[in-house]
Amino acid sequence: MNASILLASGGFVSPGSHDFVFKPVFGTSILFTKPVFQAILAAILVAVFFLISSKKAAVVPSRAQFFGESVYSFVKKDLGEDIIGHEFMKFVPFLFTLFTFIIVNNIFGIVPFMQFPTMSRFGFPVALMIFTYVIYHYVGIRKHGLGKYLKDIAFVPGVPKWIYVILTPLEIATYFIIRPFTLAIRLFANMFAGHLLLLVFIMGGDYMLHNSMVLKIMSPLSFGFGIGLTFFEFFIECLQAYIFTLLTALYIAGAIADEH
Amino acid sequence: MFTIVAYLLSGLLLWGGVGMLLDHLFGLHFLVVIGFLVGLVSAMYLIYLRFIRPQ
Repeated sequence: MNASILLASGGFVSPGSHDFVFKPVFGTSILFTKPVFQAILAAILVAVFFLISSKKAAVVPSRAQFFGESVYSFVKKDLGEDIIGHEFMKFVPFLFTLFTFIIVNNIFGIVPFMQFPTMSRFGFPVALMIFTYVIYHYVGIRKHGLGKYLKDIAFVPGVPKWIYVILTPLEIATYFIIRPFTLAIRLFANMFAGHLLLLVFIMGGDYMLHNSMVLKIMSPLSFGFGIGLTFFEFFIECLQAYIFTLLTALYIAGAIADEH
Repeated sequence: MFTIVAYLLSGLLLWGGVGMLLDHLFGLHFLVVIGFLVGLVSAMYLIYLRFIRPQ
């Protein structure tokens, strides 16, 4: 039974992928939908916050400066220095931008009146994935030269020659297809599923509240779950931003490592 | 950890896909299973070569 029939008979319309499609705010172009504006807003917020917090840098930091510096030194140390090694400094700006941009966009998923994680539209993680993809192959090729870089990827040393027939396609598929796609899909699927889960409990609670007495009594339970899961979502949103940045750092580290 | 999952996934998809393709070409039904097995085994072998042997 499809959604419109259920709606007509006053039944419960279960949330689905149609909840992730937005009409343009104005005009007809898909460039003017809510997720696009959220992404732009996130970029502005990140830029403005870190400009302000670092502008009046003092020895005794203000609260904003302290917060900004904590985030920065976390990315610099835990994601840059510990993983990439001695050449980490030139990648910190990229990692830092990636981390803060993703985390702000994810947290939009639980900010009242926005309540939509931008990254649950597949195009956004794919765009970020393309940056990561180009950068880690580029630094690898620049460090080792194209031939040696591809040889390191495609041929594991120390196995009989005929095994390369099986292993080489596998390595190439992993490095050039599976890795970037799992990177984007991981972020997308987590945000999509989390938002859907919240929709189920909160819309379900709302539906039960406008129904028979028994369901009315049950509805606080659904809302309670919704609130609990919102906190859980906050955790997942931070975690996924961290994992995306961590994997980017790992891929860069792998590309510039002396041997694979 | 994520790299290991990526290897397993690409092993299954790649060689399973090759098996499926050959099945389709020759009108058989068992090559896809062999493809999955080859993919899984070679992915595990690759994980051994990349992560366990160097230590």
